[in-house]
Amino acid sequence: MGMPQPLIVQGDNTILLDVHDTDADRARSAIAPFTELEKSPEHFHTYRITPLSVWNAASAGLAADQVVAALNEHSRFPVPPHVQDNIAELISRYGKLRLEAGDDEYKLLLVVPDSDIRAELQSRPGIAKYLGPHDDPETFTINLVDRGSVKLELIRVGYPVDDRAPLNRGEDISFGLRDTTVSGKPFHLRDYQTEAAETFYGEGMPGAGYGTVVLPCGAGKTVVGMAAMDLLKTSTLILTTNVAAVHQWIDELIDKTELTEDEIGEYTGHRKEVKPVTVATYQILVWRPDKDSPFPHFDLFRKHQWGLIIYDEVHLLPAPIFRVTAEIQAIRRLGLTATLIREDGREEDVFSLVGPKRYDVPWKELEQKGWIAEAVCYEIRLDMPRTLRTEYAVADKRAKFRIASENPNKIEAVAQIVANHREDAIMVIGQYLDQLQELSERLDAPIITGKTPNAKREEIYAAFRAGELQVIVVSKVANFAIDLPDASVAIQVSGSFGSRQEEAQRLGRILRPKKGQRHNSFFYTLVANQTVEEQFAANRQKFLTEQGYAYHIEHWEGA
Amino acid sequence: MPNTDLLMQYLLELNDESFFSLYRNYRGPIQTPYNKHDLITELRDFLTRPDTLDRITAVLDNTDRVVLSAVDLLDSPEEQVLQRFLDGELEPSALRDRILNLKDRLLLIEGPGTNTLQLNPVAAERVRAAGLGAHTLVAGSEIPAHARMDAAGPPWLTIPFMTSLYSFLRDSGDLFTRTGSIRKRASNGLEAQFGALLSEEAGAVRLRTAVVALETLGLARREGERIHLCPESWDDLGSVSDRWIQALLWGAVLTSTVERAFEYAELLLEFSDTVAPDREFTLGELVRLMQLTGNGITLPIDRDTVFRLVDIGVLVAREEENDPQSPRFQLNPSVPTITSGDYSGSGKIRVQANMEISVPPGVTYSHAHTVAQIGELIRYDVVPSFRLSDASIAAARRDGLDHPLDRLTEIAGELPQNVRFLVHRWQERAGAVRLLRGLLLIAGAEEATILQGSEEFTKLLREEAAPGVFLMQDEPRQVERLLGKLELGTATMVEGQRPVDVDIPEYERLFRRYQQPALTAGRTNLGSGAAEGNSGSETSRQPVAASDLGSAEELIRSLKEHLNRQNLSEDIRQELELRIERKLILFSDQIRADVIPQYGTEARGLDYLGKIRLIEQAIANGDMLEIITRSASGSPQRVMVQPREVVERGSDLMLRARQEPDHQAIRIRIRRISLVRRLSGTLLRRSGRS
Repeated sequence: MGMPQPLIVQGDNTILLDVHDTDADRARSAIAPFTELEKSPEHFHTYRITPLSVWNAASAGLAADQVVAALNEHSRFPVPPHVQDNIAELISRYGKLRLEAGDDEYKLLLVVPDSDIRAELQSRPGIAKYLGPHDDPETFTINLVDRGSVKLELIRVGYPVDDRAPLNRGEDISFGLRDTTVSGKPFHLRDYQTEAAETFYGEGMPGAGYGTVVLPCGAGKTVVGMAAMDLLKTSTLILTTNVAAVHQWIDELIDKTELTEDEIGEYTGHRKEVKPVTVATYQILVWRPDKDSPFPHFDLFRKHQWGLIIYDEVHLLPAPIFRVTAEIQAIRRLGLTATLIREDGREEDVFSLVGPKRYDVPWKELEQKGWIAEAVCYEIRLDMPRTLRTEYAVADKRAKFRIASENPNKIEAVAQIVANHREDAIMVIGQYLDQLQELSERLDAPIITGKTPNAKREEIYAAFRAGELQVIVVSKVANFAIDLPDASVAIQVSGSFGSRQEEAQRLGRILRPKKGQRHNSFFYTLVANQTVEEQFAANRQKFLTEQGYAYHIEHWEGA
Repeated sequence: MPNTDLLMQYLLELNDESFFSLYRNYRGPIQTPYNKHDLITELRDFLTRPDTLDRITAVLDNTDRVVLSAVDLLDSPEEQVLQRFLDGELEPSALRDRILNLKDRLLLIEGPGTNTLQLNPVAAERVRAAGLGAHTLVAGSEIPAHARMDAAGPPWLTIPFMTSLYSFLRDSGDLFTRTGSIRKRASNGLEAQFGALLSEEAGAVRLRTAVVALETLGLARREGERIHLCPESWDDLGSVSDRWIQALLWGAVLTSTVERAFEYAELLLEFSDTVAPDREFTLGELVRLMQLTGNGITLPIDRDTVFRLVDIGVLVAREEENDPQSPRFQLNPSVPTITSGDYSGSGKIRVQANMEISVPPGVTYSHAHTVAQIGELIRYDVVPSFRLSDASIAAARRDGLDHPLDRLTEIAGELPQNVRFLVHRWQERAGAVRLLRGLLLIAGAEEATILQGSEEFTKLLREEAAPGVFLMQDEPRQVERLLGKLELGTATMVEGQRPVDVDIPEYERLFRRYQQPALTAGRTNLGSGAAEGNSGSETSRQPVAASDLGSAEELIRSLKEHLNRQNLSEDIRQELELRIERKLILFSDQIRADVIPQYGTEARGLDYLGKIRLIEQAIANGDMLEIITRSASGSPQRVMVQPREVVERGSDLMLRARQEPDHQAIRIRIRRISLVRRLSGTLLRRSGRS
């Protein structure tokens, strides 16, 4: 055997990276262009070679022998022959089809020099319906609006298209990033934020200008979006998950760019402004009066000559937006996300329409540099009171979940954890209102639920941000895109725990670095022993440890 | 016995028909009155003449050399042994034909034992000098650069595979349907956990191979649709070294008994240690090479052995584009690494906080098996991965692993805190409510005190379930013996009937048998040594020189020219020509009509019974037939055949035969034969001795 190497190339097209190997960083850089990071626990990080990741590499000019050479150079064991063959086969497919500017502005040309592939495409109804004739026998004409649909279908049948058709320039706007924020703090892009924006921009060359940037929560994805806007200086539509997130985007743009309030529009249920930079929610776009009606707000995409669309939390992109995204392939598109996971398994659709992963960086690297907080996850196991054990044992499945979730011992345990974190900003998250109400009273902390008016919420958040409140109790509404920059402790007392997105979001609430403080953040979850909660806890544990977080389990012995 | 005496004895014992046939061929018609001893002496003198020996050796071809070398090397082998030894090189019929021919040419004679062969001692030295030796049997050739088999991947039947399969079978042993096919659910699981290796048709074959190997080794038993693992056998197998366990797995594919699997294991280990990694072999060479390795000659090794080893990836087959019918074989380049366990730097067992365990190549059987017991298989791959769960910990306990956490810590070092916490919790919980199969010993207070004072009792005790209630190891005979020894109870024996279990093979005893210097250093590197021509004392080990072949062809051509100048009947001319081709005629003065036996050699036209009689005679004597039939258009079609049997087909008879020269099986309706001609080509009758 030769010297140890950091990579283990598995037969299922995954690659294990031994992070303890001295050559791990070099190997990671070598495989990053043609793999997707799947999980990153403490010893082996798992990367996957997918058709899309290989085609992305091919579009960046990487040849099959370079990919295979990179694997062989860093591989601890012989690379399985069929993996090498698979890579060669996939790369050989790239570039056999080209998408070019059409004879008029509403048409594009699909050039297919290979007669066998042409025949195959024509024999597939899902693709043939988009193909129109052209004078050149090697070329089909397609409608501009079908650009995304054609690309998607071609990827599904294994023929990635080299999209050389030009992108729309959009309406020019003049602005820059500030050196000092409106709130008076110095502001400059971090290295990785600059790198991410520039990688996406690709110097304006064909084949760039669309794609996804993957960064951990708290790493400043909003800033990457602003940096991309600064590079393009074009009219921009920003889509995000809810109204609070819209407001946060607008606040950030005003705080860190030279854009004025007059130049930024809000397009939500409350306001319908369309300005050179417009921030909208996904909800308003996919709203319609009834399930058979068209989506009236889809016009927003066409109403303005956008030069860039930013999809915040792109992994949450609602399915109806796929279709309209397929129609606007001539517009530059930037997806921002912390995770490539979609619970519906449609990652491939999202990333083939919005664009491939262009940039990611391991959270550990950011943690080491202090850009994000170091998070430690604690699972606190509590026994059920004896009086409830029999009731629990004979209950049906749904009732079991509730009995376990509302284990009364949790109240005291939360109080003890809060007492142990006297200096920290603490958020208590739960699912059941009675339980949350009890906690609110026990901790003397305000509670935010779905019924809490927006103004009241903002008031509580403001007090929490300002440090006037140490503890807040929130229901599931706190899951998405609420910015609580100073939270450093999250205590999850109940919840389905089933969604990995939810976990990522909750964790994201505590990853922002704390001003002048130690960087540690704490994520506690309370789990009733020997109940169904353990199964949910196992899912969460798997997700968090695979993200690389330290995970401890402790048994709560009682006050 | 001097060489010439041996030959004379042989000739003397030949039946008269064969002897006279031989004599006439080499010395011409026999003048009466004659003295057989004089004829033998004359024939011996002819054979020992230098010019005769020159010609005998000049016409040797490669097949002659292979057969003669094998006879020489195996030292008077039985014909059956020779046939197995040359399996892959010659079809049995071709070998039989060649042996007859070599006897006709007096290169081979009957050996000392029943149905054995040996080189004609008179010619042996000259023949050996003409290119006989191990190199003609096992030389192989250097693997061309373009055909290096690194891309083939390692053999699939390995310890990591086997232990991964343990985990799979434990959780999904319900593999087969009543009809014997693999259940859909199991098939999906296999595809998910083993990928292409155990999916589709090829995967199903591999799975069956693996299951049969496990059964052979006593590690599993199949009961109808389900595969039952035998955990105790898996534990006991740990007494064998990893190198041997690996070889045993391969050996188990070649046999159905564990004893024979050990024998094959020994052979395969020596084979992998000695065969030259840069050489490839024909099928025949490989069969012979394996038979000449270690204990190979005592094992049934034939082409099937080779193909089974190819199936499990121990050997790799390669077909040349221009000669796809003659594949070349080589030892999988990964085999020496696997058998030596030299995986330095491959890493160690890692348990991660996400509850996954990775098991890199090179981990010992014992550790890999422990992981397979404690975890559930996620996926078998270059580095197999397992997952810890409450179910897997409970399963480990059921398989007899009482303290999974301790064992895991022992083999993987310090565990992540959450893993430690959960495994501890799970093993406690698995122990909280248990269903045990075992031996319960119930003793009164006084007896219990006596028992607890016995060291032997402590060894057999699993736990004390309650005061005086002991759960013992499932070893009834040992416990009974102990009770007898302690004089407790009256002839206390187990109450009730013991479930029938599979006997655990005595791995350790069998393994010890092979720990003697069977694999001592300094054994010949057969593959490379033979090729280098240094494996014996023969003075000439070179392959047939082109000039030799040239002279042989020249000799045959001149003999045929001489034949053509003779005025002979067609049947005699053909018989003589056949003898020239079969190298029975060395000198032109042997070409004469009166040496050909005067019996009917031809039947034609409407002589239906004559044709049948001729065919039957040919079958009885091993003669060849020339047959002419008429096609539908009336044009004649001529074939040379080796007749096998005459079978009834409706109202007609059918000849089953093998067509020369490629031995293709054919059938000919006798009524359609317009001419059949019997060609002997051999001098000896089937039973050469009188």
